[in-house]
Amino acid sequence: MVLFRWLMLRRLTREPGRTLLTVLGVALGVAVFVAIRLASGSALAGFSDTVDAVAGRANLQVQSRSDGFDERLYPRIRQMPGVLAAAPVVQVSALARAGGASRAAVAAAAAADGADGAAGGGYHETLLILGLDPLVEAPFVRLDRDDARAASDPGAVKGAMQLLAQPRTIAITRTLANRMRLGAGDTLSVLASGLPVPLAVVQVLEAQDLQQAMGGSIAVVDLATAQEVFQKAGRLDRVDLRVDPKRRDSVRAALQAMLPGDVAVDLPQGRTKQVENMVRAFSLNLTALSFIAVFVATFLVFNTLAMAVVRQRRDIGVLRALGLTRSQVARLWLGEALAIGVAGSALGLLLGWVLAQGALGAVGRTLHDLYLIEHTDHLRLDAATLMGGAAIGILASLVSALLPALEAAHTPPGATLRQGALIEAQPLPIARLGFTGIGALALAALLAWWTTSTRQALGGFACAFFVLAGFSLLAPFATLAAERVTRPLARAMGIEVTLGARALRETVARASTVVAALMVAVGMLVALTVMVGSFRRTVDTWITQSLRGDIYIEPAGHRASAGATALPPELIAAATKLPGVAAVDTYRGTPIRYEDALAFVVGVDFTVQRDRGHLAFLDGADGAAVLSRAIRDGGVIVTESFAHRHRVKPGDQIELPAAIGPTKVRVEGVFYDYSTDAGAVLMDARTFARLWKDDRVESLALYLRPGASVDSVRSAFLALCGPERLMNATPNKALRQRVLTVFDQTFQITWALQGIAVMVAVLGVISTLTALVLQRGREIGVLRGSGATRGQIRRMVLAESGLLGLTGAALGCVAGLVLSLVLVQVINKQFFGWTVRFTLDPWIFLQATALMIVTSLLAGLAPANLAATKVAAQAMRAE
Amino acid sequence: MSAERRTSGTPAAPPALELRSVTREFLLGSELVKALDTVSLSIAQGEFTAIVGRSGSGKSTLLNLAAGIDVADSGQVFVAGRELSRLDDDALTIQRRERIGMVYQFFHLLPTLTVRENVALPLLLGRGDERKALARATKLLEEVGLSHRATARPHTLSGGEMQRAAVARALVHAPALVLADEPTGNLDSRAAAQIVELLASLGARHGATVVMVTHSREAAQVAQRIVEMSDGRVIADTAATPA
Repeated sequence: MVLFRWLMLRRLTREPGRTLLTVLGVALGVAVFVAIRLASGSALAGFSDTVDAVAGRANLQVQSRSDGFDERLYPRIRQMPGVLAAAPVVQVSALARAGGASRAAVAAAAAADGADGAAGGGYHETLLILGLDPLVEAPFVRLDRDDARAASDPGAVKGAMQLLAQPRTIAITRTLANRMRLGAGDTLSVLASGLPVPLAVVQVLEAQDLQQAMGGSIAVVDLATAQEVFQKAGRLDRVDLRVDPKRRDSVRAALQAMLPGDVAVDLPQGRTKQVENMVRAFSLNLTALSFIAVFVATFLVFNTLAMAVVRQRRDIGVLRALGLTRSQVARLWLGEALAIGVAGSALGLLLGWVLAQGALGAVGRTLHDLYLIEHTDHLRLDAATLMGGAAIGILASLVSALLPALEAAHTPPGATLRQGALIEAQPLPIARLGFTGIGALALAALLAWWTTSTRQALGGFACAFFVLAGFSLLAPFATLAAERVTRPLARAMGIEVTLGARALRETVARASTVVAALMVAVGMLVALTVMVGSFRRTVDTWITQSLRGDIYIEPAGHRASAGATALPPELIAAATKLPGVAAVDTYRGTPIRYEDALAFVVGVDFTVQRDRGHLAFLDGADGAAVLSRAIRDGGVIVTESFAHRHRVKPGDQIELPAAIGPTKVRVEGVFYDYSTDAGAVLMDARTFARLWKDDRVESLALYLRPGASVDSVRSAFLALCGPERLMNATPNKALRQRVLTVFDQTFQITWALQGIAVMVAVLGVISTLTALVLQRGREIGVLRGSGATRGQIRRMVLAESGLLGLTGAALGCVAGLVLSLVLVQVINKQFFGWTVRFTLDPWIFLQATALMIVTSLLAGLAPANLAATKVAAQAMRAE
Repeated sequence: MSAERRTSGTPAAPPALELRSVTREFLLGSELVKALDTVSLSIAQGEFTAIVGRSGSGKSTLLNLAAGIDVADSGQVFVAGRELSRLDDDALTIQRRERIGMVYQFFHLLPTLTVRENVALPLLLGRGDERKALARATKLLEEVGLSHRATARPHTLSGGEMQRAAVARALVHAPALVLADEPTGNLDSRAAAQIVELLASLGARHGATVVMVTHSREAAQVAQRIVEMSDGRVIADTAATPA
């Protein structure tokens, strides 16, 4: 320990700049990992809390596999032996605002909003509304669980709940009441199918669990009120049960045997698990991306330590001659890496927590956009994530220190005694490294083939890793090649540029590590840009082809309320008769559980789709023929991701958990779709109505006659709806724009992660160049002594950094191209099941190269200045 | 001058350093050069021996073999009766740490440590107690007349001071054998004379055998015995003429 303190820690503290750069590199890597894990973990934990809070003390739940079930099942469930208590639940999300629903109030709120009067209306709050039966709630204690009064006197809760038995009343949490400045006696309006419904606040709930779940945006209404307002008459979403814990399994089995196939009996945590499974691919990809910064940081640590070994080779030789054993030397260097890892991890955890605050918004928004998981603004510190982050930082440092430590340990003690002995390490085995690199790339190709043929999604990550590893091993070769290729240019630019370029050749071992780090950063930048660009273009083409309607209509709040939305049939009938309207497509959807995974069943008008839509099928089949067959035989078409996930192909029979009971339907075709990776089954609206006993319509698409004005028809339709009903009527172009905006938002965090990886690589350039400059002190001194100006010394170092950037960028562009193929064809396909058409914009290569050269030149400024002033002066004095 | 073999010290004790028919070759470019050519030499315990010769005569190679830093191609090297070729790298290292002190031409003090810490270093390499090691280093610094520079960093010392610190470091762990490689090569004549005197007197006081490789005839005269080498062979082995 004394030796470590004297020899290693002291050096670290005497070189604060370089130590800080290295520690910062590790810290950024750890921070990105921790931030992403904390953010996505918090979003999911928020969902889990909500599930727990609304489940109360239920220890079993009966719930539909799709869109609710008949309430007549409830008495049968309650009477099942072993069931101690049962409570029916209707659960709906809806937009809400404080105040009544008078036209004046809505207009005032809309004016304050500055929003489109039709869609705004001041409804900013998304509420999770529970419809409960006050008479059977007491055993579940979900509303005043932490209230001592409630615990001692359940009758008090019952009494409070009785208030809800009054029609059109609502109870809200204390948090929500404070936020919306509401109290008992005030009015709160919710949107039901676009219509504002005023509800009187009769109670403010104090239960702690409810305040925390969904940021307190939870409200309770009477069951009948929920069924009436949200058009769920006769339907239940769930029945919560309290059963004898010892008999839970047998009761569950008995219930499952008694209930129809589309109704499942689960543990309350089952829903959380289901959602975790749903977002697994998303979380995993984000986590994998966050590892890039860690990967780049390992190069930084490796280079810092390797450079220190080179600089201290003489001292290590002295120590070896004085009696320090090889293992002691190795332990000292590993100890230094450990110190860097510990410091970097500690700083990384702090930074990660700060970054997570920002990432929470972006991750939460994406989870909401893609998977309808509500936002949470409460960041949770998860011990496992923090420990995992620290472990990754320390492990990455130790792994990257292995080679330098071994190199140090094998320093011959004679290195200091034999005058004129080479201080540098053994020359780099460039050919062997190159062949190993090619081997790694071949292995990556093999893994890609294996991943796509066996559908082992994780193989894609291994493949990407070997691509990066392979190109990293090619870095020394690339560095020498770059020096050779640019030699004539360097010669033309003057002696200092030639010297700078040649210095890279002489220190190829160190330079190529920086080149590898830059290659990883540029490679990922190029790969992500190509992948996102290809994906965006694919989605854009898909929207253009698929969204053929001229105006898309949905009630305000549809996105929150989803299936609890229904448009009046008379409105739909009137819409079809509007002047200029050629056809109206209808939409009704419901989530289902298929093979224990979430999927969606959607009913649309196949006749309209056949005549006016343009769905593209994977096998190139004629859409009109497929849809005609589906209309005739009651068949379905499925999305590509559904087909991929469940290994379904045209002609297969699939069994859907329909409301009329499990029903087998024939798959007529598989079509391209990028709306959800969960997968969807599309059927004709009439088939949907038959299978789900539900002919309601959630939203519409209007197809106009040639020459009809979109604005006129839109205005006419909104007039039909009347001033009370808040509707979104979005022209095709605006909808397409909105889809692309959501798409771009989804990838915002990707760019942030990528930016940090580039930053770590730049730290590597600064650190390595500084070390190289210090190492060449004598050479710089001789140059100054021979008449080189400070400007020439600066240019020499800048030429070096510029060439580093150029080499890293060139290798990174090639690696990026290969990686983009892996991302598009392997990882994306296996995780999400989407076919993304690979499109390449050559500009990205130029942009990435220019970015890296400029960044490297900027990174080289400080070392160049150091070389031109301090180092040169010291070296000249020494000589 | 004929080679003359001399021995001294306790008759029963093994020689402090013994080479038996040692050959060491190096490849210089495409040419194989014999740095040592079947050299045999025995240095008794407590003896102060100077090895002289021109550059390339093999004297530093001999020192490296004695330190266990280099390995002979053929022949045997014994230090206090232990044959070095039988020892692995760790055992050789421990041997250096415990029984050998080293002094170099370029001092090789670690720049990040103070003078006292540099001197204490060999004790700590053997996991010695820091406080005791520093106390012992302080005592050695007094002996070499550097106690006033104990807390200074090496780069602030003069060449002579640095080499005195290096001598203190070589003796701090009371080694049986001190190997000095051109200890005066980087010093002016006055400082050089002081260092050689110091090596002789401290070596004698601590009972250490001192083997000093040097170019300097003046420096060699302080030794009890002078071994002259040329082209990898011992060409003379005589008692030094008192100055």
